[in-house]
Amino acid sequence: MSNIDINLIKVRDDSSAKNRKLTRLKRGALILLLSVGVISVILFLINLYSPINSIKKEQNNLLTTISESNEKAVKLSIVNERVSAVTKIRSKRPDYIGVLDLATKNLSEGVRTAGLALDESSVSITVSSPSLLSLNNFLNGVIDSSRNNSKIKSVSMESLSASDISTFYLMSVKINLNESR
Amino acid sequence: MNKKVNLNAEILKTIYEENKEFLLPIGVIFISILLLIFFIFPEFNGYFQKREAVLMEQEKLNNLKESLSAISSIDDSILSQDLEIVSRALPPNKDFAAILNAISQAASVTGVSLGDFEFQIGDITKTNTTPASTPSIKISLNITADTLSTVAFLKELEKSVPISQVAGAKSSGSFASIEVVFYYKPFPPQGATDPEKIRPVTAANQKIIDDIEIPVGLDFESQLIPQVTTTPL
Repeated sequence: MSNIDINLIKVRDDSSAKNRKLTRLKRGALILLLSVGVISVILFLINLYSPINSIKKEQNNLLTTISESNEKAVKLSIVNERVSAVTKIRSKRPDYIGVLDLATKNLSEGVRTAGLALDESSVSITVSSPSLLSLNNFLNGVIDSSRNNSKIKSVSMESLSASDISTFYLMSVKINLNESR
Repeated sequence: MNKKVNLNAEILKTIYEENKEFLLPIGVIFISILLLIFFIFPEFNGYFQKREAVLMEQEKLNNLKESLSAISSIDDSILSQDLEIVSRALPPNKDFAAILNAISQAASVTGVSLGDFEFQIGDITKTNTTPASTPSIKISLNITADTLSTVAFLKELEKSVPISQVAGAKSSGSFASIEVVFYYKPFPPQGATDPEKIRPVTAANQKIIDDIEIPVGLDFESQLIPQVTTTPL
């Protein structure tokens, strides 16, 4: 056996470890720098080619064209505004006429209207007849017609009286309306 | 153990000499991080905001295109006619002549006799602004008519223009007292027309206009032909 020294302890090579660290660090820095650069360029290009400027330009062109027909635009706007106001008023208007039609169509022979009262929420109609049966038929007719009418909330008989000086009976019927939309 | 470390210039120089190769990449990383924080992230944020702004502007553009298409598609003479009809249905001011015409027309059609009437004009010092609700004038009138004729009169009045609403009525024998509300609506102030919101008259709206009955032979043009604004939008 020759007398050679064998070193069994691993020698720490400080410089190569440092170099590896440095290489990794340099690579990391380069990747980060490149990433920042690429993202910046992409953002710059996105901003450069943003369609907002062309949209605004087109808007201005359209506004100029609309301004040239300003009178027509104002008229159109007024017409639409007024039609919606008319529709709103009509929808909120209590349907007195429909209710009065409903009451008057049930007037049979011998039954006459003697009075009428309208207010915001009800229609009262006073009818006269020499026959109680006719008044009964009138009342039943009004009740039947009101059943399928969504505008009517309730029907009530307010009074029934006989006149001292004539042979007529007077009956007052109150039709309560549902609130308009 | 209380070890004292002396960081004198010599030691610092040695440390610098040993690690100076690291300084450049560390500096680059530091600058890149700074760029990320102070430039890229705000730009990203701005990008999303810009995207939202683009969408909004695109919507605005589409609205303007619709407005222009509405303006181009309608015939000016039809529009003027529609404007006249709706302005008679809903006058821009308290149009007493039109109200009296409507009442007398309803009376003549149904054959009732008109008695006294009274206008409740309201505050005449108020300026002509467009309130949220539609302003109105209340009129109380007495008529000589039986109940059925009163009903016919109310029906006729409801069909007439200016648009009205019966606020109350009391009929007994051959007399009736009626309260009617007539509506009006001032024109919007000059420049109030939003160019983005101009829309064509829809078929449903055109039907409403066509259904408005304008009395024939009544001449109140001078008061009712609307004067529209012509200032730039």
